[in-house]
Amino acid sequence: MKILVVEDQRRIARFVCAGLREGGCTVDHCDNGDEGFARARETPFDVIVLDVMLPGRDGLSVLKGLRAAGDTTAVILLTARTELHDRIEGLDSGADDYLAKPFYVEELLARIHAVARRATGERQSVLAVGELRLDRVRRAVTWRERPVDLTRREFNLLEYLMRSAGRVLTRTQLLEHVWEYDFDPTTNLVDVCVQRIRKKLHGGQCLASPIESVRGVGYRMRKPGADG
Amino acid sequence: MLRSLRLRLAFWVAGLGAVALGSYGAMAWWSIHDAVRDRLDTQIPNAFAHVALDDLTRAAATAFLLAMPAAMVLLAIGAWLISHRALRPIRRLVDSVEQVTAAGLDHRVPTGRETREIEQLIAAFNAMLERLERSFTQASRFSADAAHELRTPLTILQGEIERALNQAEPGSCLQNLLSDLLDEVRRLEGISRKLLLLASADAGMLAVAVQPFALGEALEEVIEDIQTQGPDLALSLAIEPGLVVAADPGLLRQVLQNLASNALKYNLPRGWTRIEACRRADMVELDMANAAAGIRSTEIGRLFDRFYRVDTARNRRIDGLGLGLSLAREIARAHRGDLVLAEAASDHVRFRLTMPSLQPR
Repeated sequence: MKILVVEDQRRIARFVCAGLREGGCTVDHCDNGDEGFARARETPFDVIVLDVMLPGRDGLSVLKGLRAAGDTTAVILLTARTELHDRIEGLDSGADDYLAKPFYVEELLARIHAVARRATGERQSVLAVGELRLDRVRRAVTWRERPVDLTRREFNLLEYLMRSAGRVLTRTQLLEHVWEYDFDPTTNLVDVCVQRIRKKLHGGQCLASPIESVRGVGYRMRKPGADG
Repeated sequence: MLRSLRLRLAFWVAGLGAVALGSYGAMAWWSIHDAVRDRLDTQIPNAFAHVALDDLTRAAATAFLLAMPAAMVLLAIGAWLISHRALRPIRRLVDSVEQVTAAGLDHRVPTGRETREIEQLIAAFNAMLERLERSFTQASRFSADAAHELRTPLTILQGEIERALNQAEPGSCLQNLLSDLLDEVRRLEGISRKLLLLASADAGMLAVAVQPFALGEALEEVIEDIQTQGPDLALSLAIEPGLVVAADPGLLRQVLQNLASNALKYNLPRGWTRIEACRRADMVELDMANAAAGIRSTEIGRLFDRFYRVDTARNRRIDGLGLGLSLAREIARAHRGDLVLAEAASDHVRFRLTMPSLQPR
């Protein structure tokens, strides 16, 4: 997948580009709006990651310019979390999604895949990892063809782990994404919830669990073929 | 003793009037009396005339004494009526000041329509508002700017640590350390975000993107979390079905989670939690109560203060920011609702959240 990253902060651009390359993308980078606009016009990309605050032409103006020129490339805006009007204006200007700073590259990768799928008209409502299948639309889960009944939180946690299969997700990351809670070292929500999912899937025998514990860090969805 | 300025004025005027009238009456009477007696002595030296004069003196004194209270009452009523007129500019001033308080610090009391003394008062008040507004906006600008400035370094830290974490040997000490660092970065991000929210609330610019919000569904999640985290707490519920409020979903969820996490953190071992929600007129009332060691009365007033935490040796283990409740209240108020400590008994506490209802009556 070909991605254009338009971000003026050199050090942010560095880890974003590196993270996306590690995630299997081909990445091109520019550090100002004018160059970003020109690059987007001359080369076709699958997704453009566009910072809102840019020297020269700002992100929103680049986006409006692209849309005015009939360019429908999927665009993800990077913005400040509390700048609500940025979000509204951004989505009005034709952005496909937006992500607030600071963000996890893992999240950016997932959003890139989602908007790219949407752009190609591919509707992937079913996630499958190993013997686990999760239907986002029907909110149904099967493990070895057997239906599993999960609560809202359990479903969302499993979906998040499956979406980023193979990646280590910290407890805080899970807590923030699934529960929308802030960092809180006293809570055992994540661990209890993972235990429950494991129990519902395979009676809690840890050996063959698709959800792998990473000691002192968090959890990881086992990717078939990768390891164990 | 008399708290009303009008009543005081009436009393003073009546009292002063009584003294003035009394002394004037006495002086007038005695000078006439003396003059008449001199005349009598020289022209009608007759005992009968003297007796008649003394009777007249007594009658006049009685009449005067009887008339005095009536005069005082009349004076007091007069003063009461006049002071109503005289105090009208002050009432107007009070109205304007109340409007300023409601509308925000950027409003001023209109000038140029009152008497000089009142105008001086208005000018002094407006000058005070000016200074207040300036220091207030400076303080909230400072928090907002600080949060903005922190964003870039936080983004870089988070991104780099996340990358390193995924490259580290799974379960290694290094990965452990990176995970702890990532938590601290998120903690910093949380603080800076909350400060920014508080700063915009202070500036009266907390942006709430209101939409219909199904309270019952959100509470289901909160209840699931309470049950997960406090399996030995007795949980009782009385939630009216189908409650819909006008709220910014992200912000209201934050308030609900804050209430739930307080109910867990400050609960007693084997304690209880009770959640009630119902519609009252055009508001929805949500009560969250939990067993708790009594809050000291000195602490009650400070509960909603920023960075304040009920902190006794008993609950040192509790980790939190102390920004939660004050932010939750600001969020509720930005929605035209409120968050109050409804009850602080010796064995439990109850918080009440009110939010505007979005249901046809």
